[in-house]
Amino acid sequence: MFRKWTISSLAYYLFYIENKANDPLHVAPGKVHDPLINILCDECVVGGYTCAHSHGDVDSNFIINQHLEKVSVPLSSRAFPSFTATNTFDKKMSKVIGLDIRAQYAYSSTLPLPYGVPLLLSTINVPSMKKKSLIDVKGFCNAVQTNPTNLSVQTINIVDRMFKEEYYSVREFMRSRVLEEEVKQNRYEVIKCYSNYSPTGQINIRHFFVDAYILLKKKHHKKIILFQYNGYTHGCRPSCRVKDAFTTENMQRRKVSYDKHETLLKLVNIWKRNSKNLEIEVIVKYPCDYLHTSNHHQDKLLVDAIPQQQSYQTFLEKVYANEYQGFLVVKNLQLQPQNSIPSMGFCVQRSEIDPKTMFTPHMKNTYHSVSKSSIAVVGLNNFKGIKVIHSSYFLFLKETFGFVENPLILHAVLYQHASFLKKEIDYQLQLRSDIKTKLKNPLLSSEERQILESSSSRAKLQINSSYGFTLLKQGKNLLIVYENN
Amino acid sequence: MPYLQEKLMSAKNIARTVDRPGIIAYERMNKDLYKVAKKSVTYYSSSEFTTPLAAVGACILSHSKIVLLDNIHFLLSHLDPSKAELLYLGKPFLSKINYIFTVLF
Repeated sequence: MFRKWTISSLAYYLFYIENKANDPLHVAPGKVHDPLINILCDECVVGGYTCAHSHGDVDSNFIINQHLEKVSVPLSSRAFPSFTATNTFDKKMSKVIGLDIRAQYAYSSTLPLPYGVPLLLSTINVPSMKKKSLIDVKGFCNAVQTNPTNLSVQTINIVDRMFKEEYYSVREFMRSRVLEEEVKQNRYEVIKCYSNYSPTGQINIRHFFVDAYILLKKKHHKKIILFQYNGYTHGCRPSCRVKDAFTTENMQRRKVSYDKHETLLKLVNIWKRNSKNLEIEVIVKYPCDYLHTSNHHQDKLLVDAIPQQQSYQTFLEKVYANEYQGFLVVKNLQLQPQNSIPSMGFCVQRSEIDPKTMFTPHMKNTYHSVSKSSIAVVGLNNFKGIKVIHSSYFLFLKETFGFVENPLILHAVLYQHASFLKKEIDYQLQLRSDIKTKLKNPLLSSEERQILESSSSRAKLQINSSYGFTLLKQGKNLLIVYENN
Repeated sequence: MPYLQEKLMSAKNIARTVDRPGIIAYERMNKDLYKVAKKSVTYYSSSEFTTPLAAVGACILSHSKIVLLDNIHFLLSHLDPSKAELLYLGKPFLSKINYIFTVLF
């Protein structure tokens, strides 16, 4: 028996799946193969937290907010109650106060994060789609320019049928057999849980994939349940009464599938003979087993929860209501000018910076070695061109500032979201807080102090890795894929 | 953002590609020529994508941005602008121009 570790399962196993590894209903973030989805997620990665607002030398002669005298845009009193027309900007600086906004990454990691399989939606032109599966590009462009509410939103990536069937089947098995029967009724405890959807990944027995592997324990007795879902490519169950169950193709598929199953059973028998206090059960399900059950489609995948096509207005309302969460490709999104303050832009984006024309004299003096244009993270009051932002950020901007026009969202990569890191991160934060409290004790020996400080650093590293690890590139050779035999 | 790839195809070949994955739009140029838009881009498709958990990381960064900007917004909207100015935020190292969060207006 061996396990094939993937990049994602390895990362999650090392850093944050400890508390979710054996949760039969937890779904891990999946690896995505769609290039467009991956590009859009990558475009949304905007780091950079150092914020500089530089005028020149900051000393006792520095006049506070002198640049705001030139502001012509009236700021709304609701948004900025302290900014009034009578403000005079002639006071000089007397002291500098340091402010520290703490624990952003740690706290942010505890908030709802994407998991599972994403759904890609694109804004398209409806009438042409209804006629035939072609998009009228010119009509689309015209609608985008004039009135995007005339457009429609269409699902682009169709999740593989096999994937969907297997997902629902494994979920149903985890819910009804494992949790309801074994855990609740028979008082077993789940020790190990491996599936294609759990963070620990899928398990193989020799060269046979097992769709779910559950190790249960009650006192000294252990029970392993191997669950296999034989989808339509395996043919139907021999007892199936579906009309087309006995076609030649179906019979051939069934034979191959049965041979494999027999080999698996032989391996399981050898396993049983060599293990004490271990019960092994193999369960095989076919699509025809679910023909008369309607409740196994719980926890719907996004592809089944979101309509194939919907109007742009409906889509936008769902985004505003936070029902659709994920990454949005927005075009020229502009904040309400009366709610924006000219000393700070809240639309954070990567943008081309030309030091010659854009740097203030102070910036030129400080960064005189920088002369070429380069990409930098800047804050503006609009997203220039096409930018990818997360829906939570989009909603923050809407609620705080409002948008000038109805926003145009060209694509959306929607995910299901859950706070699956909260427990682990909170544990590490509490651990660090307790260590800090202990370190305040003046009676500690130097050795005790050193041990506590190293524990504190380890906890901090683990918290920081919660996001840093997700952004590591495979190509950097920092991550490896290996097989644990 | 250059994630669309455009290609010119003849009317004869267009029928064969209608159901092909990746094709997202057609535009008829003239009687025999169509412009086809594909969603893949050559320089991105050279290998499998390299950040399998980028969605999680991007989401964490977005959340943290909201925390930071929410705090800045609170300060900006409540400080008396004639008496206090938000000059500088973050760690005092500005050695790399790529990571400067600056202000343009």
